[in-house]
Amino acid sequence: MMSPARGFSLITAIMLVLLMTSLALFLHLRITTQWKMATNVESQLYSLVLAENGIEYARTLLPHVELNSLLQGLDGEHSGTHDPEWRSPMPFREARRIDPSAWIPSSDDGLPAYNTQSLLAKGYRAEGNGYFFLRFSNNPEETAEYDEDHIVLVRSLGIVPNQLRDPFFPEVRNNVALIEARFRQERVFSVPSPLTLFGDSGFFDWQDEQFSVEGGEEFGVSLVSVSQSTLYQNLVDSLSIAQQERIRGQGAAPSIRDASPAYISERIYQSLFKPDFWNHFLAQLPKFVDGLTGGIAFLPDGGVLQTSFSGILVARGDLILQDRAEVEGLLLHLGAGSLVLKDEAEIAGGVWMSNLDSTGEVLKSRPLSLRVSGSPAIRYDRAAIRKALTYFPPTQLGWRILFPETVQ
Amino acid sequence: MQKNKGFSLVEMMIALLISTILFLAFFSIVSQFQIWSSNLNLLMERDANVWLAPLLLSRWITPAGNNRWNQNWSGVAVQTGRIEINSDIHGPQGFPDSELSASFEALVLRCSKSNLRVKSGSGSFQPLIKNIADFEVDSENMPLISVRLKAVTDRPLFVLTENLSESTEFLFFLRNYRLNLFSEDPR
Repeated sequence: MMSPARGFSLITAIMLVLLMTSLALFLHLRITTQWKMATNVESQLYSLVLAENGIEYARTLLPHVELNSLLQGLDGEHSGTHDPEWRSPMPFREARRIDPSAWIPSSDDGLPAYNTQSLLAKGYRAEGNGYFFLRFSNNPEETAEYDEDHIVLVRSLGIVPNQLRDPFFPEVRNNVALIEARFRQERVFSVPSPLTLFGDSGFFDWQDEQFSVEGGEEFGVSLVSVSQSTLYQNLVDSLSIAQQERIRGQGAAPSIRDASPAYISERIYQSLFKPDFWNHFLAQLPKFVDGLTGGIAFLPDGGVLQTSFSGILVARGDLILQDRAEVEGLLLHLGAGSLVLKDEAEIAGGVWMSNLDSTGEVLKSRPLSLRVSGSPAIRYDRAAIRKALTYFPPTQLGWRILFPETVQ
Repeated sequence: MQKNKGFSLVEMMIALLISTILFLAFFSIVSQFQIWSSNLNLLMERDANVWLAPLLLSRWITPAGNNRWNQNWSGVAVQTGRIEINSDIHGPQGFPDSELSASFEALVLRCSKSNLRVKSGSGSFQPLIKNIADFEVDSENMPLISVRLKAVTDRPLFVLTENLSESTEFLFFLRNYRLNLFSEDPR
């Protein structure tokens, strides 16, 4: 027969074990919940970071793509705007429950692509099993299919799959963040001729007859007036008959046209007539230069160029291109001083000249100055201009985070 | 029979004495355990508040200054222990509408009564994050905004007397203040 003392000890021991176990369990649950919360917060933050990275990817890609092709997708047809969340890579609800590695887009409109090659068709997979997906769409002030103002929206969706599976709630719920940025790709300097003169008067000095201004299928010289202009007369008067033959374009010589009406009517060029545009551009330019070997170069006091340069060369003051200097892309001569082309200097792309007073509320023009001697050449090269323009970063017009309740 | 009964009483008394000692020891351990557990709870709550801060604040501070229609208001205004954030991020058509009328477009964050509080539009301040003793904002290096938070425990910890506040600093890059080569005029 068992003694009563033994039973008492057993009950005490069981109580002890139970108490210790329940306390340990409580602590374990508390720590586990806290850890889950921390992991969840971390995943949410990571999805936001991924979405931000997507926007930066789009910023880099944008200068290199043709917007209307991008908007229509690789199939060349816009699929419409029936889905309320058509601007997003995918609807929020779908993003929360899908397996991002297996996602296939229902439409290719606005998906990143370059030269008919799809980029990031399945999103970008980052470290830590996170993804971002991108879609471009036209700004709401225009139709969905066709862009004219070079403004686009890009939405970037960051997804971090839920790593913590709960046996009681097996349905996947990803952490999702959606960011929208509004960009404008600047095309104001997509010059229409090898030599574009923006002003109302000018001094031109052509010393020889061996120079060449070759427009090919475009006019040799385009003139854009700010107000009452004598620029055409100044230019024609400065050229001898033989020299006029050196300005060729559209199979004619001299090939000179007044491009003012086109510049005034085209929306993308209208900012050129506003002082704020020039003040901002010249103030910010030094922060965006790449150097004198290529990209964006700025010579605020002019200088002498004897070597090769590819990109956008911006100069103020006296700029001399001499010997066998070569510029491939755009040469923007802004402000006072002369542009001097000498010897066998060659420009493949286009030259823009303007000398503006932007201190007042109305833009005023000051005389341009161009001196040409020897046998320099300015040859219109649309591809070189287009390539040069890719060095201009997109202008960011807005950046916002979208939430499920506000996204459209 | 007689002998056995007397032995049981002594036995019982000794057993009770031993049990009392054991229970006292046990409850002292349990109470110690509870103190640790309670302290741990308080510290975890404090840390959870600190963890939440970057997520909540980044969603509000980072998009500050979205002003597509060049309206006459400032995106960020910093005063001692207080930040005002304006950002035109929504509108009736789902896009910025030049007004700061939608929720969370005009926010004020400040610290009071050991809580970080937020006010949206013309509403009143509501608690956002508990147990924040100090909130400092620095906008000297715009477009970087520095936010320093000092999180404290809900109540003093048992037994421990040392200062267990947790200070942390976050840097937010204001995306709408990024430099542009060309002006942002709404054309």
